[in-house]
Amino acid sequence: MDSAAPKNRFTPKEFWAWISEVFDNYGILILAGLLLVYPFFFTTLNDSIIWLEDNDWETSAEILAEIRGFVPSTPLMIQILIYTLFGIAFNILLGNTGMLSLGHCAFFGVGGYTVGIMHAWIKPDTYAPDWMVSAFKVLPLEISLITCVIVSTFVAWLIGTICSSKRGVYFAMVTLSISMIFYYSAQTFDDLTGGTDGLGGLENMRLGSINLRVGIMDANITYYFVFFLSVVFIAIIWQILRSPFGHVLRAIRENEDRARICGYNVAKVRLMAFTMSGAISGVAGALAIIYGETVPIENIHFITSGQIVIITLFGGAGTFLGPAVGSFIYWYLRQLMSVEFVKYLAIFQYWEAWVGGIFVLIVLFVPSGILGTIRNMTLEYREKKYLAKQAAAEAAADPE
Amino acid sequence: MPILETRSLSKHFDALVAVDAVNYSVDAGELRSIIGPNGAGKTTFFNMIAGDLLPTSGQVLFDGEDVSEVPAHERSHLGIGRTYQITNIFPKLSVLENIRIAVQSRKMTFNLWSTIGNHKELIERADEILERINMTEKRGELGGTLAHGEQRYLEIGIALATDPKLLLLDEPTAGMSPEETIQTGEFIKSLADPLTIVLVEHDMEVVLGISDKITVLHNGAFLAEGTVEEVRANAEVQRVYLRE
Repeated sequence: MDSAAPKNRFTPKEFWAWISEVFDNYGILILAGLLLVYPFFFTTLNDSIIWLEDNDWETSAEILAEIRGFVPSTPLMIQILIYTLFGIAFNILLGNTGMLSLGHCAFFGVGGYTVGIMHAWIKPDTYAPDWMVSAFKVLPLEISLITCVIVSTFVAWLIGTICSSKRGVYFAMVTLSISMIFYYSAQTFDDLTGGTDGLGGLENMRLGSINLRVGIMDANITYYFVFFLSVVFIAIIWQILRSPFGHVLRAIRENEDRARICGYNVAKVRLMAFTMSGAISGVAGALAIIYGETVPIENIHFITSGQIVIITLFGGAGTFLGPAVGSFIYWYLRQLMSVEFVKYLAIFQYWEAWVGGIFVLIVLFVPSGILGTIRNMTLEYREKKYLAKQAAAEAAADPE
Repeated sequence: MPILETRSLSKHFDALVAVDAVNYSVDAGELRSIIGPNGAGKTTFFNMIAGDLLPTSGQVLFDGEDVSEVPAHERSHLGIGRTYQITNIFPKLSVLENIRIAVQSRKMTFNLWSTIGNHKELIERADEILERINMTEKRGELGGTLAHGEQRYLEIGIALATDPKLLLLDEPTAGMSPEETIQTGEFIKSLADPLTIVLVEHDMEVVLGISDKITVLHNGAFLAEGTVEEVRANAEVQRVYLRE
């Protein structure tokens, strides 16, 4: 009989639903914990390979080195963290307010250039005035980061006043074209920005308050620096999205006209959301230049905007941690294809095409993104379980 | 003093005159109806009162103040609430959330550092409204999954949650069964006084029983105004409206 099916059979769908239930409740803590110990893990992996080689366990060392190729390195994790922050900031607009901005590279780039220009040019015998040079023998990173927040907030507010009254595709096009103005400005003023070569020469980035050097010299320290700042800003965004203001954002996403007739100043709310999103994207842009110690012009190019849209949709625009998942998948796939897979099949050197193909598949078949789909499955599963429970209770109360 | 007054209010869409120099006045506590055939300019007239459209010429006075140029969201704060002819709710938010977001609009917009949990009064007020529109049991369901008639009630609930002085209802019974229509009519009557209500209807039968006064709009201009009997007896109205 049908009803005699074993009760404890765990279908894959249920298994995933269970996993995501755990992830739902403790996800952020688990994730933060794993990320906190990640550099130890990777350093230990490296050290053990060296140790095995030193002790003539060459086969084991080779196997472990092969495995290491499939483990994201600490610098890659730095990149993933930065794009997680960038994606979550971007998602204030896309996932919560329902605005698709194609110009977020402007904020990412402006954030990076603000810090970059300050560290490259506040030196003797450059553009900087003497008093500034003598005030900061070595410019502390705190000062440049605070400046970066102020500058990117202002730029975001400025762009926001121009374009946040636009809707849908017009909003996307206006943000896109404004960001192109920033790109061409960066290219034109190459004395200041380094132009297409990128801005180099920012070799002394130091946290003044604890006299700690961050940058390419030490991936682990840079990792923790980026981790700490990302966590702080992600926490800020999390609070904003759960506040009464966050609920207004989602009301506007659902039905802008209704929100207006309810008495919300939609234009002002949209401008606020745009400014916050842009300001925090600027911080992500500043973090992005620290490990490389250069500002590549690609950071302010439209490609960066495209990347962040892909990352957000990969993970799921409707979920808070979606961009984290998207960022991991995007960068990890990119690394795997261009470094590991390419050893076996040369066609993987065109990793963009593969990632693009996967993106098309995701948009076609799981339009709510990876985390979004998992969440929907959980909700479905919970509802089913709840209904079954109710039916059972009814049956128990009324035996015939 | 009238709570709402329009002075030669007009709206032109290029060559089309949708509303033509309308003078209208509503006293506080009244339940008024505007009827007219399709395309008479009823909804355009409403849109200008609520602020969705700005008039080509003329004035809208609310509570004695000229609000002709005031944006829609500010008019909501002055005390004008409205519903739409085509149901306009937040379909992907729960019923409670639909009402709560409207309640919240009276108290806070840019509140970033607290949570909804810190503001129990919002939910209490929303529950009051839900009771009033008789939807307490549905509070957890998504707005978009409700039956059509329930969505119409929910929309009235959203409008009520903004504590309006004047409630504009645009064809509240559109798409309802005759039975629901009667119920809704009674419900609307129960809301009137102290609330002032103006409702637009396409179907005259709905408004007959409940309105204090009926105004007939035809081709953007007022044809007649008066009690049910007066309007019914009006020869002009019978010609353009009842026998169309």
